[in-house]
Amino acid sequence: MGDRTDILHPRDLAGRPVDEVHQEVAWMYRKTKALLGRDDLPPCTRRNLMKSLACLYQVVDDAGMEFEHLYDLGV
Amino acid sequence: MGAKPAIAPDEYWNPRHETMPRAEITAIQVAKMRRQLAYAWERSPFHRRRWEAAGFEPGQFRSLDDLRRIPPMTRAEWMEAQAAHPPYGDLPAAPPEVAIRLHTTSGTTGRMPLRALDGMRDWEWIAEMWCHGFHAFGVRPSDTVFFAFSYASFIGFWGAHYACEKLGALVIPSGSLPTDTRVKLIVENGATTVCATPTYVLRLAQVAREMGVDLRKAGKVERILLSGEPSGSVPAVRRKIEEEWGAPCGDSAGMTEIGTIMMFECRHRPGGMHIIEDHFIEEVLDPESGEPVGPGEKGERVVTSFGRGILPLVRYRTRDLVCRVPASSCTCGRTFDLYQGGILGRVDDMHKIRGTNVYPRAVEAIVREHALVEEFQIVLWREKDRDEITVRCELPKGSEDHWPSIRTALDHDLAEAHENLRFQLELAEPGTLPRFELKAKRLVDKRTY
Repeated sequence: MGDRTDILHPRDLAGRPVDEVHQEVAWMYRKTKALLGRDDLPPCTRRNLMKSLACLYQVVDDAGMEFEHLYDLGV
Repeated sequence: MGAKPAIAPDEYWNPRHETMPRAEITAIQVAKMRRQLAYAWERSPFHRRRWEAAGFEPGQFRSLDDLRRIPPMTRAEWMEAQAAHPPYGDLPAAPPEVAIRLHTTSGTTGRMPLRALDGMRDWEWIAEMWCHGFHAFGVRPSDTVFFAFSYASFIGFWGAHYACEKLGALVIPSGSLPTDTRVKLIVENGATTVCATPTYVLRLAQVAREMGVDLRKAGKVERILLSGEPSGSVPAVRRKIEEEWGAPCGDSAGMTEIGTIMMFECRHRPGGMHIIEDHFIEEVLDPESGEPVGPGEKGERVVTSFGRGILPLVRYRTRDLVCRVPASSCTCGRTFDLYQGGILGRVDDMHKIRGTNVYPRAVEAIVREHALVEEFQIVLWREKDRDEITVRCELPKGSEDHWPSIRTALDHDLAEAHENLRFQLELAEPGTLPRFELKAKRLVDKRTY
């Protein structure tokens, strides 16, 4: 999973503790967002990462961990 | 149909949120609302303009009690914005380039449809909301789900289709296939779940009977998922569907303006639908005063959605009449409140015909384009469980020769403005339609359930 020093996302939007699984998902979500910030991705990588991000967003939204719009990333 | 089920280990699509205490639901809603307001303020000229005019800015929102500081938005305002800034108006908070799909609604005043753009995240969310409904009514990966839906510009069951794919079910789309072919597909492929409007579910049953197919024995249908018409929560309609199919039906309700459902009936069938409260704020207001009504009192739904971001809906007046009751009214264990009896009616005069919104004003706007039409009447009726609409037109005596060309034009224009809904058209004898001195009552609803 690479460097996960930023994995800690201990509380959700309501201030409730978040379990380990969803902390990992939040890390994947943020990592995918960061990758989409690169300008050297081939179309197949970019578009599939965008689809992945849209799906990962549902997980962190359903867990109450994130609420945001992703249009600046084209998602 | 049968005793209330026990709570299953996999009862909930999102166990953590569907069973969280009220204080936590409120905390999630407030946190999301603060972000949504800031986002809309920065990016949606429509919202900023209206909020500034009302003296509201997002920093004033600290709790749900502050909702009333935000001026409710109406469909008319949305349409006016669209007319002033075509084609999408100034409500969109993101450029059209980020959208991957355009859907439209039927026109209300005049012929202008609402145009709705959605991006990738929006479509995943649209499906996610439908997942709540399908999972709650028992659909699982082992199911085969049949969609009797035309997959066109009306957003309808598009999201439901994607939801069932996400759930892992086998999905059978039926596009524009004729009804008898759909019946065959349902039976031959062993569909366990059928999803359609209540009217069309009854139509399928009627055609099956004409084909000599007893759906209660020939098919494997275990459940019917309804949406698109308020009659999905009308007990007499539900009884008839369940008798015809030998399977329980569950209702859901959505809006084109939201793109998906915001409430669903669970398999405990409490006589109402749970609101998806972590994704929506639903208020019930007195339609005249705008003041909140109490639990168990009928009022108008006002919805804030945390889904779509190109079209952020904040305190949208739906004109739907509902009666909100506490979550404890249901035995399923969810903490999401319910709308008892689903959508109870409309504050205004919208009529749903086979899932399509028909507004008398919109019909009139089209009919009145033909100057020769002296008077007209809209008649709603039922033919063997199927809603029908007839527009009767009266021409001046001696002008009957013009009727074929007027009829052709009306046939096209009415269908185009109403998601291809087929209107029946009749020429009335001169002087036979009622005339009015004050408020005209040109709509006659002959439907009975």
